[in-house]
Formats: sequence, C-alpha cells, structure tokens
Amino acid sequence: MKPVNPPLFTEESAERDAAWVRAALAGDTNAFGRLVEAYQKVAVSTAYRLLNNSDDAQEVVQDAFLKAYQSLGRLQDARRFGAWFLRIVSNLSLNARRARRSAGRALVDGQQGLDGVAEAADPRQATQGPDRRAEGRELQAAIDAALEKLPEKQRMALLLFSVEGWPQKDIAELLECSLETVKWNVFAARKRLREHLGEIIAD
Amino acid sequence: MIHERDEWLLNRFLDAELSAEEERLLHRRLEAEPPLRASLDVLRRIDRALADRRLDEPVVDWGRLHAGIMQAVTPQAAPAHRVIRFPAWLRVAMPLAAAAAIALMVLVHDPRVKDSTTPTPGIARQADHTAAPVRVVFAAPTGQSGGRLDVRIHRRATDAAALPVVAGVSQVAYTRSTELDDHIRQIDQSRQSQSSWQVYTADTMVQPAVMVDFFDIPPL
Repeated sequence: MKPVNPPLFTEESAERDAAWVRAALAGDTNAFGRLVEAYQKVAVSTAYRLLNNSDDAQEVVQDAFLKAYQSLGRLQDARRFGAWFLRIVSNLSLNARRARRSAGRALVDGQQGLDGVAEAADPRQATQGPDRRAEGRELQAAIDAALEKLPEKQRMALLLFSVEGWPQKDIAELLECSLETVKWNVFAARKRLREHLGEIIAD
Repeated sequence: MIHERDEWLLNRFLDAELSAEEERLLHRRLEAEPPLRASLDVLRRIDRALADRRLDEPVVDWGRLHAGIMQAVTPQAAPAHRVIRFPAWLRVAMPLAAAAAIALMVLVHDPRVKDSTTPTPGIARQADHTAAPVRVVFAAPTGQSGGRLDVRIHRRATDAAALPVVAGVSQVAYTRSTELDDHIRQIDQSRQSQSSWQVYTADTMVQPAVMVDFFDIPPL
C-alpha cells in the first residue's frame, strides 16, 4: 500500500498560520518568514511534481510567496493560509507549464515513443534526481508521456496523491472540490494511465 | 477489458477503502477472474512506479531559497489590507519624482461621520471628506530605501477638541526620491508654522477599521 503523509491542514496548523498571518499583516516580516519555513518544502515538492524541474519549481515558489505576501490582506480566512498558498503555487506551476508547452519545451509533437505514446522532451534531465528505480527508466519515461496527456486536475490529483502521498482530503482543500471529486480524478487518471501503459507493463 | 464498476472497485481496494466483507468478495473474484487480476496487477505496478517518483526529489538549497524569498518580500511594504490609491497631490508630485512610487491607505476613525456601511475599498467618499476637515501628509522615513511610511494627520486647531482622529497606515512599496522628500518637507514646514494647524503623527493600525478612505489633497 502506498504511504500516505499526515494531513497538511490541521486545526493546529490553522491556528498557527492564522497567528503568523496576523503578525505579518501587522508588519512582522519574521512571522512571514515562519510561514515560508513551514511551507517552502511542500510548495517546492508540489511545483516540482507539476513541472519536473527543480529550478523552475523554486522560481515558481519564490513568485508564489511574493504574491502571497502582497495579497495577504485579501485572504478571507487566515486559518486557511496553507491551502490558499499552495493553490497559488499550483496555479503558477500550471501557468509555467502552459508557457513551457507553448515554447515547445515539454512535449514535442509527433515524436512517438513506446506503444505510440508521444515521448516528452524531458526538461528536467539536468536537475532530476538519479533514483528512478523499480520499474526502470523505460516505464518512467512512458509514464511521463502519459501524465502529460492527462487533464490538469486529474494529473494534479494523481501526482499529489500517488507520488506526494497527500491525503485526499487535503487535495480536495487545495483544488476546492469535494473529496469524491478527488477520488474520481484519481480514478480517471489511473484508468487513463492503465490504458496507455497496460501493454508496456504487461510485457 | 473490465467493467468500469470493477475498475472503481480495484481503485478503492488499492486505496484501502473497502470493507472487510468487500475485500473478501473481491479476493474471491480475483481468483476466479484473470482479467480482473491482470487489471489489478497493472494498476499496482503503475502505483508503485508513481510512488517510486517520491525518491526523485528536487535539488534545493533550502536556506538559500528561504533567504531569496525573504529578500524578495522585505523591500515590499507591509502586506496591504486594501486597494491602494495615490493621493492627488502625490500624483502631482510624481512627475517631479520620477522614481517615486508611493501609495498609501489611511484608516481614519471620525466619530462624526456615520460609518454604518463599510466603504468600498479604493473608492473615496466625497461626503466624508467634507464632513471631516482632516488633511493628511505623507512622508517617507529618512535613511531607508523602503519600509513603513510615516503619516501625519494635519488638522485645523479649531477642530481638535471636537474631532478625535485615529489613523494608521497600511503601506506600500516605494523608492526614495529627493524631490518628493523636499516637496513633503515644504508642506510640513508650511503647516507647522501656521498656528491654525496641528500636526498629528499616526501610530499603529486602527483595529477595527471603521472607515477606510483615501484623501485627495491638492498641493499647497
């Protein structure tokens, strides 16, 4: 069974974040620094899963914190800073992905890989870690390509759940949808991956 | 090929969401239905391959990233509570101070002004302006390239007893401008030399903000 992380958004973290948000709004930059400490890792991980590139992920996260800081006063409920901020991260990541796609960095049209699945031009090769193990590089490359073809919400739900190990409740909070919708998105994403990768895996 | 309902069942099984009874029934079916078993095997391998990606972590210098973020936000003003707008006299002053970018929001509590409704941020209420003969002068702190701005409330002395004013400022990104500083200094000196004016220095943020407004003040 896949490991599932402890919940990201709890009563305790909500109270803590609300106090820091209030202090930051009163001009305490250190309080905002604490929010950065609390969320930078999960933010970079989230952006990294969506962008597959360490440098791009860090750039997005830095932008996201800056936007969050500038917009902090518009946050309706300071207790929900975490989900609000990670929503900024995911939105900026998706924007960056779209920009990268339109610049032709992510997917090379017409380039066919295994089983007729278009292969992704892998922009992360310079920075990705070496530990793609178990199923091997071939399968991972095919998964990369299949993931590229998923609708954004399905892709995000699957990556956060199956890779990052987020509880589905937290994903629902991030995506501002019901738990059932998250389950459905994970289900639909898996189904499509199975359709794309079934023969490769069966080999 | 399996039925979508069974695919949903396999998903719930993978996510440990089946009851003991459902699991027992599924295991029985898996033994009897090779296509179902094959589908589960494929899903498991995909899930395992996805979980393996967790080992592929971003390469990050966390301390450096944190420092970079804080450096990016530090020159910013304190996070703004509301939309910000330039006072008219600053807009006049701006051409003189090409590099200056100052925007302020002032929270003023004037008990004489009815405040039963929350004003729309960024939209000045002219009626309130006329009811509250308050003038506001903004001045950037010296020796800093950014930070919290000093706000002074100038008001006619004759109004002082009758019109208590509490003000605060939620502020802004700005850059220094000698020309603008001089302009503000002139306004201050001019008013301080007039006995008909009292100078008030705004302190902390008003909580709660009972009235949010902007002052369009013509240049002297």
